[in-house]
Amino acid sequence: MIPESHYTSNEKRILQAVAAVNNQISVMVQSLLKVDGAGRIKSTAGNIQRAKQMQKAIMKEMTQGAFKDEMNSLIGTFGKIPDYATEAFQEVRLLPEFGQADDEMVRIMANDTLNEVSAMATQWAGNINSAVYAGAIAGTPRKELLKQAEQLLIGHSDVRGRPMVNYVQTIVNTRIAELDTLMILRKGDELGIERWRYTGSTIRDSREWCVDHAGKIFTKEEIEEWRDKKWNGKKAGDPFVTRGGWNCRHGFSPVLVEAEVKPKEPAQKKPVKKPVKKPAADSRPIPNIDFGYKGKYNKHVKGLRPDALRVIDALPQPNEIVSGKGVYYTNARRVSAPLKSTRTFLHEYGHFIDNHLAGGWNFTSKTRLYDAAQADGKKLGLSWGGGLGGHDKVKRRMEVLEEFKAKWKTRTEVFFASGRRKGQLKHITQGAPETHRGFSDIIDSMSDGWFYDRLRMSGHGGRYYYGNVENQMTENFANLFQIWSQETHWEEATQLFPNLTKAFEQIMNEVIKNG
Amino acid sequence: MDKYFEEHFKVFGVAPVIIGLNWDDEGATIDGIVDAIDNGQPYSEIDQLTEEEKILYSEGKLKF
Repeated sequence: MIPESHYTSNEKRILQAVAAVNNQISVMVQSLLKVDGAGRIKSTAGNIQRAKQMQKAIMKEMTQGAFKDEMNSLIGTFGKIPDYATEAFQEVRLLPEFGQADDEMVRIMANDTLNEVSAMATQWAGNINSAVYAGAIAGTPRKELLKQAEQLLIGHSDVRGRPMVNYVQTIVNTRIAELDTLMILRKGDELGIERWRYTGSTIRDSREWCVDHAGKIFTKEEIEEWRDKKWNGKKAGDPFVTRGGWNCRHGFSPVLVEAEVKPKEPAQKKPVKKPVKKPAADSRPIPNIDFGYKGKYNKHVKGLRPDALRVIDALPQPNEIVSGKGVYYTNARRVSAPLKSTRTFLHEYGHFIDNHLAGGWNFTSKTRLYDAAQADGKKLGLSWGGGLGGHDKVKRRMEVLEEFKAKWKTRTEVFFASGRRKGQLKHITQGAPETHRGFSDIIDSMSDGWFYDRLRMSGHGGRYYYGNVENQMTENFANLFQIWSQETHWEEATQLFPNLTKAFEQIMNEVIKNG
Repeated sequence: MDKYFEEHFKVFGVAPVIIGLNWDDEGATIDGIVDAIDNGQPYSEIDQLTEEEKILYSEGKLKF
């Protein structure tokens, strides 16, 4: 568990860094914008011009330089998480082991957090720039303008609206807590932990949810049931990771004792179903999926495996489904796919599910599929966990890719369907066959885009994949969802990607069970 | 496919910019490269995005 002192240190450092930015902006306003005798900013062309010039300097102040360096350094403390996780296991006298995959997870979450803070700083720089520019035009008293900037950055007790400092503190402390609990869960899984105690000190402003649950013991399945519950401050996503919600400083510590008293949760009244692999003669009802749009997209789910329909039925639908290129818009929860391609529709719908399960701009595949993809990639001779790999590994990767190419390469002649050249040869494609495009793309992701870039086999290519673990994992998820849903080649997928398919099936089973 | 890439490189001195947008439609990439060579403008899938999509793409919020 992260000690309270780490959280308070983060808050203090963020406040100091934002206050320093505020000072710099204050100096700029006072030295550059001329005022009249009453202290009002003169509405002169010169002042307006200088306000425009200041915009660049303010943006730089907030997105580069000392503020960014301090955020880099602060988020660098995410590297302490393995030590904190180790401490959590000391109580039960277990010693977790950490490897490259754990380092990678820390690196990914630290990068994501830094990106979120940078986006926040950019947004607030825009807000301050607007205030400065409006102040120069309207002739606002300089004192008032400085107060506005300070309110935007640090806040005043007498003014409503949360300042930037609060948002940054919330983001950083929420993310590090999520990383901590995720690391503890991973290590717990490796060590066979089945029960968890909800821990953390309850303070004056602790949520009622946290106060009610603190100190109690839960199984992983029971924690999963929190997804369906509602409380103030709840954050969407995996409840083991999001716990009480934004700014929650509670977490889970491993429990070895078998005979613990279970918490009296309403959900406990229902017996917890054990995951059972259903036989072919499945008596459960098969949901009838209707996406709306006058049934335009319903054809894409006809004939899918029943469990795929159950997954789609268990989750909300995307905000929007449109016909177009295969794209998933994270910001708008919009699925776009060519009307004629069920495979692409399922691929993009897979992105939506992946995104929905994690919430916000995150994707569950980033953490849930990473280890499995590494294991399968290494086994196939395609991945080596980052770096250049060395001559032998590069050679081996190319050999494997050549083998897959020889196995899947399909030559397709495409002819003009209309116009003056109707019937003439348009071009020849030679990627993977329709049934194996998803497979080919997984191989492309495992090889950092080499399968497409070097051998022109179906895939997103290196510009999309190289060094981008999020894209690699999200595409793996989308491809697996498509292959799994359409069912006919799933058996082959389980043989080729045993770890990935297992991890994916586990996620699907959880969705079916818990919604 | 390779021959289209080679021709593009020969004409423009740069490779086509592939961001994965047309990964599922190989024909669209080939057509795009052929059109780009005909029109004397290098092929870039980034140019196929709207202004809003370009921002989303740069922020990693578009998945193909």
